[in-house]
Amino acid sequence: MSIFFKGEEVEAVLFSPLEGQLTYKGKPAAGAKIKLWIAWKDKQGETEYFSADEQGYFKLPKKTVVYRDSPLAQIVIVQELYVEYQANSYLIWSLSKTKTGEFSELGGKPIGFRCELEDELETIRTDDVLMGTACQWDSIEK
Amino acid sequence: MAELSPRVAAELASDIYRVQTDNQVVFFMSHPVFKTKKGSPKPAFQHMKAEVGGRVVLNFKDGFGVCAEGGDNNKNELFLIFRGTTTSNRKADFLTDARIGIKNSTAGLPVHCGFDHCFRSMHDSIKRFIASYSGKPVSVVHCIGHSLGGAVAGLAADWISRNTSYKAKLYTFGAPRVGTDWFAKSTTSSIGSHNMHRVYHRTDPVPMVPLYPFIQAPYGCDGHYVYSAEPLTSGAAHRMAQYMRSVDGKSWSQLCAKPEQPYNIESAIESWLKSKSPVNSSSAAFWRWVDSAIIYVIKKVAMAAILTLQAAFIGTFTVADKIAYILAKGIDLAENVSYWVERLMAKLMQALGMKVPSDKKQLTQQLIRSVLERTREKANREARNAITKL
Repeated sequence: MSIFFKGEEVEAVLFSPLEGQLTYKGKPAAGAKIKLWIAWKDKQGETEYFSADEQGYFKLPKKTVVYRDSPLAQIVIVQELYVEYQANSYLIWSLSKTKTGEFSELGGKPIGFRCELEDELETIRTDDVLMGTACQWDSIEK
Repeated sequence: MAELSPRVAAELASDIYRVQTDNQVVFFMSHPVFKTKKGSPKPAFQHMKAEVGGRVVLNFKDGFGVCAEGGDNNKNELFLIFRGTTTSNRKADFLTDARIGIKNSTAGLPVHCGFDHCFRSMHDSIKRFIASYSGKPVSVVHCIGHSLGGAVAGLAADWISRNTSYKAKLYTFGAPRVGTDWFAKSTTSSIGSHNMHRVYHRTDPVPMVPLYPFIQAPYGCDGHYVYSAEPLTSGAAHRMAQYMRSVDGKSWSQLCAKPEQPYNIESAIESWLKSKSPVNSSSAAFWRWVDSAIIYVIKKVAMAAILTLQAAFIGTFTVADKIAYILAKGIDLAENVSYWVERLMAKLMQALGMKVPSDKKQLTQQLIRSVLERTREKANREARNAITKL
């Protein structure tokens, strides 16, 4: 009835396309299993599995959703990447973002993206993103 | 004594939204206020679990706030930081409860039941955290939050100021009203108005609700009023990202614009009530006038009928029930009182698109109650739609 505060239907990028290489002690993590967990509308979230190739290269697709954006409920998108390799599980990426655009995770597309499974998570915080990652990159393509 | 800058307070109020898993608490602690030199022990922190929302909607359990000790640059300072509503706990929204009621706070003062419930669910954890510092030199406890998180921070700061020997500092962004004028006055003198930083945008609808008898603290202060151009009906001025932009690079004294219209001057309220011009319920000014006018008319009735207001507001009935009761009493009083009740009802009914009755006898307690109920619903529509439309 009222036009008040309905919120608009907008698209949110839940996960921006990501490709790179996984290494374990400097060597390609051949055939490593990658678990991607994304949550935004509930605590459970959704899980998907991917695999790295013989050289440890992986490619994760973009994920989007259309939702009704209300100023009273802040959208928070959570992403976690676990890698299962040689019977061990490594958390390499844990991120929360309140921005919904493509590549809002890192402010652009990462070039030379690579993750060493044994590395400690390094924290990155900006006005829109809070994350810890074991990955590195050479540059960000804006 | 240490005071956080507007930018730092806003960063913490904003960062807390992005604490969604246990891992992320650690990332949150990378903020400069918690930084310690390598080698020294990491500051203690505790991730609180809170029940968000009234009992009726959903007893949603959610990670909701962080208690933490300051780092090297914020020695002997404690932080209590609370989060507002997110897309994953939106069903627990604080304005969705159709019966916004009043309850006694931990200090026995009349406050909003939903906020109080939320604070109480975390109360034990906060108490334990604070108690673990007994005997240590604590100079200040910073209480910070946006939206619902700001309301809870207000209750936390109130509790700190009454139950510990520590100074509380409160920083809120776009926070709704926590309690009645009794609470607002008492918490202002307990915390001290100079320790309360309330930042709100001109067109943010949330600080305008719940309507009277809820009022903002610090009592008798304009707070940090910040100009915003977004239309009230979009709610866009409520976003934390917007507050971040508004306070960036500013000091507290630079964030002190004067609210535009004299909503507190009696003659101004009277002429607003008397004016026959059409009302625009999608303007920020309209809601401020409504609020001032309800207060004005209720006081008039109360003075004439010798009703003690606060006593009348505590109990099992809804706020609308009580105000309707008082206003309906006013209709039966002398012309100089009933006239203002009539004018107030006419304004509200106009805004709601209802037919204004020609005779004041038709303004029954039941009708007044339904007008107030509908007015409040209109003011709270944003949150209602946030859950029903998603």
